[in-house]
Amino acid sequence: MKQNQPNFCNQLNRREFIKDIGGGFAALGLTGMLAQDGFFASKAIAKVPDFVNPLAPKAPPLPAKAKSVIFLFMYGGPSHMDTFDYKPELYPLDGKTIQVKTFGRGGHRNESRVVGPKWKFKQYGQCGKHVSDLFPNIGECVDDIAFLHSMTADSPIHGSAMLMMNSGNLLSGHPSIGSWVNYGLGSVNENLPGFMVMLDKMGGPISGAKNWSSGYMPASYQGTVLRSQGTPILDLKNAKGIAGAEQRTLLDHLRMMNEGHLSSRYDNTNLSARVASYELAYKMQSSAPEAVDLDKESTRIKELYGIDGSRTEDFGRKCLLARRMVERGVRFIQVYSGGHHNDANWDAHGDLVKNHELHAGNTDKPIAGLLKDLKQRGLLDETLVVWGGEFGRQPTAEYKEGTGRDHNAYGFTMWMAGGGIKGGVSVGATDELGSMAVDDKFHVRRLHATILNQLGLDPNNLSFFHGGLDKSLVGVEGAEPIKQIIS
Amino acid sequence: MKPYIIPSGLSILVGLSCLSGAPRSYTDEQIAFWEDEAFPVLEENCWKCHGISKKIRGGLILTTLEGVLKGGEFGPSVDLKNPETSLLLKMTSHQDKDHEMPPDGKMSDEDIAVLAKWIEMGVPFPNADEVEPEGEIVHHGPDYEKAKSHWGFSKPTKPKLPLHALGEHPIDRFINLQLKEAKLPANSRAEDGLLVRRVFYDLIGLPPAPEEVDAYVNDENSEKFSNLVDRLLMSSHYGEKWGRHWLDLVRYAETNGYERDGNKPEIWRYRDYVIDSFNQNKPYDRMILEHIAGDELPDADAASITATGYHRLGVWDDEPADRTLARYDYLDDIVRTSGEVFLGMTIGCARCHDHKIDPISAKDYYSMLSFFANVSPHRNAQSNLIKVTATKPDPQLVHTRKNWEARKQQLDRSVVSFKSDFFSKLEPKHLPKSILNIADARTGGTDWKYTFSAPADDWQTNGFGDADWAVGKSGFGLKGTPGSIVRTDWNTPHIWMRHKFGLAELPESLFLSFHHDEDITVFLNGRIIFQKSGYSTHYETHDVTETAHAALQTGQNVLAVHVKQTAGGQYADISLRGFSKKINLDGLIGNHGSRVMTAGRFNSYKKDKKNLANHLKSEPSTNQYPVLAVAEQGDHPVHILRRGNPALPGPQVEPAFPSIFGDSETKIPASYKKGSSSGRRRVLAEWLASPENPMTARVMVNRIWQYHFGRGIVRSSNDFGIQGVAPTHPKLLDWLAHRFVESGWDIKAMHRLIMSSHAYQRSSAPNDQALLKDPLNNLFWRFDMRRLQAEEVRDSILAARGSINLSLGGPSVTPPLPEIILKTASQPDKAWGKSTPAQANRRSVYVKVKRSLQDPILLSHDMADTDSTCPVRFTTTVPTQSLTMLNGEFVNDSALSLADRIRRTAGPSSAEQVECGLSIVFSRKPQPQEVQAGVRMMEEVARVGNLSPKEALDRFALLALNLNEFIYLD
Repeated sequence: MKQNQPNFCNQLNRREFIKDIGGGFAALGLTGMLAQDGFFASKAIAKVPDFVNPLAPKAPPLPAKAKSVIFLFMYGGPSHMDTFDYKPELYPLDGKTIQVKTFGRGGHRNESRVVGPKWKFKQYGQCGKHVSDLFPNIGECVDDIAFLHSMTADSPIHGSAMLMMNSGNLLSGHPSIGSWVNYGLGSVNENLPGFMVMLDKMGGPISGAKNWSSGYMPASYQGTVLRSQGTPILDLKNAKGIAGAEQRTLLDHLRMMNEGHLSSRYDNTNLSARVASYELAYKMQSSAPEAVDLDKESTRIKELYGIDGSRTEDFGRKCLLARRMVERGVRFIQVYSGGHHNDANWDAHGDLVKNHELHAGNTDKPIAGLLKDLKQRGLLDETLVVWGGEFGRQPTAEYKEGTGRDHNAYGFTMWMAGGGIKGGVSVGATDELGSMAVDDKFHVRRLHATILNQLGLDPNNLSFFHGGLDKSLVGVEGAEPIKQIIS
Repeated sequence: MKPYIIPSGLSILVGLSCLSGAPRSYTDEQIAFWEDEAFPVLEENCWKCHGISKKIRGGLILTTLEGVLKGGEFGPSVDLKNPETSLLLKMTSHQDKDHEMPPDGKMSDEDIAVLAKWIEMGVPFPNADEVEPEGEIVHHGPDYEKAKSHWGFSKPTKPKLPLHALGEHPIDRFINLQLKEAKLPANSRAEDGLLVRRVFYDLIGLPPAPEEVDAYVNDENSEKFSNLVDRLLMSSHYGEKWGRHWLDLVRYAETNGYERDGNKPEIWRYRDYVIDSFNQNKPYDRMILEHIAGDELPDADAASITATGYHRLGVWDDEPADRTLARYDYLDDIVRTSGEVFLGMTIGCARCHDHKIDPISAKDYYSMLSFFANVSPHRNAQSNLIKVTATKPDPQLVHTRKNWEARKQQLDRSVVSFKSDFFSKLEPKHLPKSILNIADARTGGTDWKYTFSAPADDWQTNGFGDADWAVGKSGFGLKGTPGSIVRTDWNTPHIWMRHKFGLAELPESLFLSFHHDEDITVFLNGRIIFQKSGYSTHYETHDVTETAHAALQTGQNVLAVHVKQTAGGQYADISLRGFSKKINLDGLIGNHGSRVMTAGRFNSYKKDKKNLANHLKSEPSTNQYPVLAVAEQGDHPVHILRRGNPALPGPQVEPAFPSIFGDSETKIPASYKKGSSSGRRRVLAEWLASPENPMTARVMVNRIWQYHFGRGIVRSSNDFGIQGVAPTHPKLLDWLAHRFVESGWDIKAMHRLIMSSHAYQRSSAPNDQALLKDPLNNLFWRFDMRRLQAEEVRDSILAARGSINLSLGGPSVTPPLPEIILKTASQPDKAWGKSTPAQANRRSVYVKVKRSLQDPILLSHDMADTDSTCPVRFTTTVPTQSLTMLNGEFVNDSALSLADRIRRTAGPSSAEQVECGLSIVFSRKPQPQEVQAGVRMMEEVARVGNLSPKEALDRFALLALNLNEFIYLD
């Protein structure tokens, strides 16, 4: 990482730490630094050096507008022309077969039957943004939202498109965007992981953990799955039958015995790091349950998020959890709407109305609640909220019968709010059918560049050396943030 | 090498005299146009990336006249003779789909028109407005001539050994020379106890038992160290440990990744091949030949073909957005991996353009790729399987055969049982005339001659005299044997029985019914007509016409039976019935089965009969099995692809080695063609495995060194290029490379050599003076401590609990995963298997490597990333890792088992228990104060938690598994 190496020894080439070297990842540099500082020559020689957590917070190299990101991932690919990309000319074409180039699961086609938008659009806010009846609550927030109507991705197939949206690459094996943020900024709150992922109750997205993997980076930067019910984080709860006081006793003795072991190996910071990591784990055990305890929230707040026992309860809890994570300094939170396969997510190949009514109905109120709540707490200014799926959908039908739409990576809509993003604006456009982006095409990399930029990271300079290359999230060719939406 | 910086000061191009010279003179019109129109457009749209930024994109500078005229990596940006064909206009007006500038959105038509006019006017560019670029040019080629002299690309020359005074051992001479020059004191030899533990983990990845350590410490043989090394090198667990190192390099995984993350069938055979190869000490050059071209070798066999599974290990998207590109991605994965693994070169970086740093051109890349271009496409399920013939007994085949036999017997029994019952229940009117009926006990029995003591050899023949045998009515046996009707007692190990009968005419069909416990043999006139081992639980009927008819004669016949018994119940009863006409039993069942038998039995009979027929068709081979391997298909020309884009093919290339190594022309001998295979990979493999190859030996000895010492002599063990880390001991590295080749690429010999050095046997203790001068231990003044690898952590926990299953090889296992992990899969119920507890306790190298789902113990301890070659594992320390070690189900279950083990072996006092527990996790006898510390822990935790002594020990066992000394090696 170019701009960010204060935790390592400044005198040494960054590659000597970050690239493929033996020994401890975090601790090796420290030994060198201590030596440079004359540490070992001093009388404090037997003192254990402090643990440097690889996830310790780091100052962003550039001025940051956002401290945290909440990525609301609409897995499966929501239809843009049925949600936020108003296409009045599409309605009268319903049922007509027209010439239009499409590419989706069903391959390349040149003509297909139009499926008119299935919902009416209304204008909202001062900006007068058209939003479909699927999202009456989000409609109320449009003055805080910047819509990107001309998103493009490289693949209209879930597997590779998910990896593209999450890691900037169609090929498996690259770090996800949350890992990049974790790597670039660390976690403000050392008692919580810096990158958390909440999955739909129906199951994970396809490719599972690959979507929040740290790829070629150390595993410490990968996403941690957070659950809204049950044990929130893997192994957070004491093992069955072990009371808190017993665990504390165990940890105290563990530390003492480890310190005995360390006394003749005092220079080994990996050992002291491990001692410290148990204390951090202990703190995490006490702070994480508090962080996920929604009982602390008022009824009014719960209602705002749709936590009322209705269909919005599940996603509402996750959105509220996301806000609580933001308040506690978690850098990157990803919340999945939709999981598993077929209609358990936004992948509306069959009955478009049934599918989108389900998923929009589950999420509209919680998302609007999240935006409003962040705003009323003054958090929206420093929290970047991103909404969208891995691609959009085609204006035409996939099959002879029915309303199902196939995938569309040629043009689709995402939106961003907060974190230094202008409200009430819409940029880019698809053609009159919504079949492809025509004006100001924004590749997924531009979205990634914008997210990093708002966090104070330079997308073209945040790099990690691997396999002979300085690799970055936005690729060798680089990408610029979408300036039109940055306030 | 530092990226090339544009020199300051302009040199003006010759041949453009109208623009040359300084200052330049322009017409007022030109200057006005520049100032009002061209300058603002360029400044706003182009300069950020092409002149004033930290990085200059595409090698193009647009802030100086020279830059504009010279252009970037795609040529001059303007064409003053034909202004409308200028690259600047093509790219800004988005005529070239692959290069649409500016990248963040098209300029307005008006602005593009301004640029067009500017070019038409002859690109007026007043000196005063030029901005000297200071950034780095991003795309540029390396300095080939200079690069050739880079240490990593030149063939190792054999260095002279430093003076003997520096040490007996050749390795120590090199290392001590540098220590002496740096005036660094070296650590002394590690204590025996620590050394044994180091060697055990290093060679087999498992802890020594405390007794083994004691035996070593007390051994007075001066050869004890080399004896220990030899012993461990002969252990089958050596291959498991060192094979796992190799699996890291070759990105081993058992699924394809992406949406379905489908299984790579039979790929565990490749894993076992790797383990076997290390165990057999297969020469490394042979391993290379087998990996790259095992199928094309003249002596290809099961092992060498299995090795080519290497090509199939990468990620593979079964539903790519762009199939042509995906094909190149697949080949790229092979080229990239092979380049880094075998050559220590990042050849993959030259896919889109010449390597930015190393002297590897895009032509080199595509020439290398064409060695693999004919590899058949990867496909789902069984399509890439190739049948091979086992060269030695194969446990999996035996296992498969056993399962098949068991199933066959099960179906057989069911079918026979139905037929037998049907035959006995069918009304006689449906059968032909009965000619012979030697009745069994069910219908009153028959008088038999019998004896319990072994008769003469000819006892079963017609002429044998059985006058002194006893007479008894069937059945014979022990009352209470299931399904028996005992009329004559038999309770000895054997019974021999004879029954004579006369026949006037020969029957056309014969049915034998019997109930036996145990092995039975039936003779007719001295010839065996039926034999069966084991025991039955009820009467079975078999059509014996075929064997019995030929043995029968008119007149006197003898039926003789021998039944053998070993234990349990015993019984012998038999009937033989003969009929005047042929009986078609299947036909009778068809006509009467549903009436005579219950519907349930009839239906299950029909099902089982069909299953049996199918089962017999799937009889497994006794010596052939399928492996996931490589074959070639067709002949695919390869072109250089501009920017790696298959839509932009450049000149065609032929297979060739990287040009940095001189003569790269390659001929594929006609004799190398084998079946549908071109022989190309064999040519590449032979070049890689050649003693003349400048990279191969050095790269491999460096890896062996790295796995012993925790870091290579070259720390970047996959990158010996210019960006790599220079060797700390270049001469030693070269000397080892020579030694390796001279030894016949003998890996085990290299282990012996390295481990016998003082450098390897040094203590890891800190030394303040040395730390001050060489904190990173660049000079090997000590042995670096290391954390156990992910697999070693899990295996050591299993070993500590005393239930590790050390069986070797075979299909991968799926130990239980926490629910929260399983739930991350898109189909949680189908994502993982459920191994038996014994299988779940197998070594980690046998745990299934599924790309989208990984065991948290292994993942949190930095197991290898599966999607690209992993030359060095990270060692991360984060709180979530500690949570898993402290609260995770696996570790807690293991702690309880460890506590049980302690209770079984140690005395009742907590001191004895603590001592036993610490001995297990430390592989040494603990110090008294360590025992005291443990005892205090047990006392305090018992007091705090109000725990029984048993529970206190359970908690202590959990603590023991979390100790740093358990997880770290000195």
